Amino acid sequence: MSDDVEISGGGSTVVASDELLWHAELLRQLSAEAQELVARLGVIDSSADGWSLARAGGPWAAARAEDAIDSARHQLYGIGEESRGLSGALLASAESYARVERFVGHLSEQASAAVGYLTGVLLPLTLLWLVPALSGAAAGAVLGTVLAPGGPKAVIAGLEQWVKENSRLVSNPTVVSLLRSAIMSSDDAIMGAVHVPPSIAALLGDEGVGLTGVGMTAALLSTVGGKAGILGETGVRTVQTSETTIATPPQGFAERMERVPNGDNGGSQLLVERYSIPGEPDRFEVYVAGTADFSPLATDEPWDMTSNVAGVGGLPAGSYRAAVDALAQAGVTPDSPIVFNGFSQGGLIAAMLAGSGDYNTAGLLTFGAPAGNVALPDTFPAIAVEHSEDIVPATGGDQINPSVIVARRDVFGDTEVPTYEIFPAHQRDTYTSTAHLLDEQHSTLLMGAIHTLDNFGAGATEIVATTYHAERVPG
Amino acid sequence: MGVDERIAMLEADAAAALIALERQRAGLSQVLERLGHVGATVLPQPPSQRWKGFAEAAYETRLRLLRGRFDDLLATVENAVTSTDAAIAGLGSHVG
Repeated sequence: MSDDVEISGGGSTVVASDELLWHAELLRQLSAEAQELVARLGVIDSSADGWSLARAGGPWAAARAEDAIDSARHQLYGIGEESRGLSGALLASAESYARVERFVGHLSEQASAAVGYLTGVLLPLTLLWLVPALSGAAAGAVLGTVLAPGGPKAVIAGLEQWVKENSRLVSNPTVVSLLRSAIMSSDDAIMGAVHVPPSIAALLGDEGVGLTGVGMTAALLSTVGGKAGILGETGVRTVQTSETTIATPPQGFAERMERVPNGDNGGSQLLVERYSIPGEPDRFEVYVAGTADFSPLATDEPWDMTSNVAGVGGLPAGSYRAAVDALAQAGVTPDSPIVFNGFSQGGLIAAMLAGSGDYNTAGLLTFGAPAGNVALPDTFPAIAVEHSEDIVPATGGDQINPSVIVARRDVFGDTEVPTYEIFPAHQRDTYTSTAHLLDEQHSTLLMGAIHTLDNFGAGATEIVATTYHAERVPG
Repeated sequence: MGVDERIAMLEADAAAALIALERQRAGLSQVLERLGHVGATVLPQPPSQRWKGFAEAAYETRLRLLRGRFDDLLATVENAVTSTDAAIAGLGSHVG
């Protein structure tokens, strides 16, 4: 696995590896130290001046010492200037790299938006032209799905097998990037299809004022899907499943990732920690689980694909409503300071809660969340941890919040992509290993933000951890 | 001024110079200690990995030169300490 972590955002225009930012910080400190030591050597030099020593018949060694001190001052001055220049050069380089990346990204966005729009405009014509072939293929696909030995489940299993066998392809950072572009331009395709004038489409889309975008497509998918019997939202019921007292609040990335519940197989999907600090209102830290059911047909599991699509569309997903209910049961009020954490869909829900304006949010930490499209205020530290090869965050589109610190790791680097999982770069274990790696990083931007979250529960005299389980109910 | 007075004055100058040199020695020790700390904790090591979109070779060369300059600085300050020690010893024998 690769240990390379790239840091961007946090209000900065720089994109760089954590190590580069750390070197720039160290060189800045070196420059400051050199300046201070030049001054201190000046004071030392004046304490035993040459004239007094000569009058006292001081030996030649005293003169040699004085020369050496003068020389050291000049050397220190040079080191201070060089390290200051080098620090600036590192940051300037990271800045220009980011500028080129932004420029290329902007061109790519515009190009994919134009292609998307054109696809939408030509869609009816294209469909008409392709109808005979498409109907044959579609009929074949449907018949194949229905008549296949084992029915639709077998087809889905076969699809899973295909994705596993082609995990190298679906975990390729270029493919992930292309998917992100395709998703970002999906709204343009829809506007093209309904013949919104190109200039208006450009103005409304992600490249313009952002009134439409990934969210619009997802919301449309959720609404249309609901009418077709898939991705349909339901009511939810949330119940408390356990309550324990724990010793300490979380410290760092790994402890937070490890506290996110694993909601698979009917497990609790939410953990709420209440910190009691004498003389202060209770504060809370929340951990939201990832998707447990990937089927587009809603069952009794709210952490499902229906919630994923509704959540990306900014709609009140079942899992979001379940989390709101759990927070109310836990005693969270609009004034309670609260930090949100989540993995995958849990990260999306955490971001939606943090950005809802309904809570006194003090921090946000997400792992592999499709939450780039969720608007967040810049009033609290927010960190999004992603893998370059992970297709799931890409489905949330580009990160729209300049204040969010994005820590991105090339998780496989030059190593072989495993084929035993469907999306190996999105696995919980892989993100846990990244979280441990992040705890060893140095850059002030990233570590400053996590230290702020670490201080959130400081001084707590009692910590109560409560878990909740939610399920879908009719309504 | 008599010989005795002149000797007394020279001895007073030497004693003052000795005190100044000892102060210098103490100051240099502190600087040396600080430089040791800076060298261990602040002076960057060569990068352990590739930095995407960055001219690593040019940076590594400049960093190597900087580390070399820092080593030279340590040698210079150590030389100042040694010379101060020698001056203290020389002057101390007069005063003593």
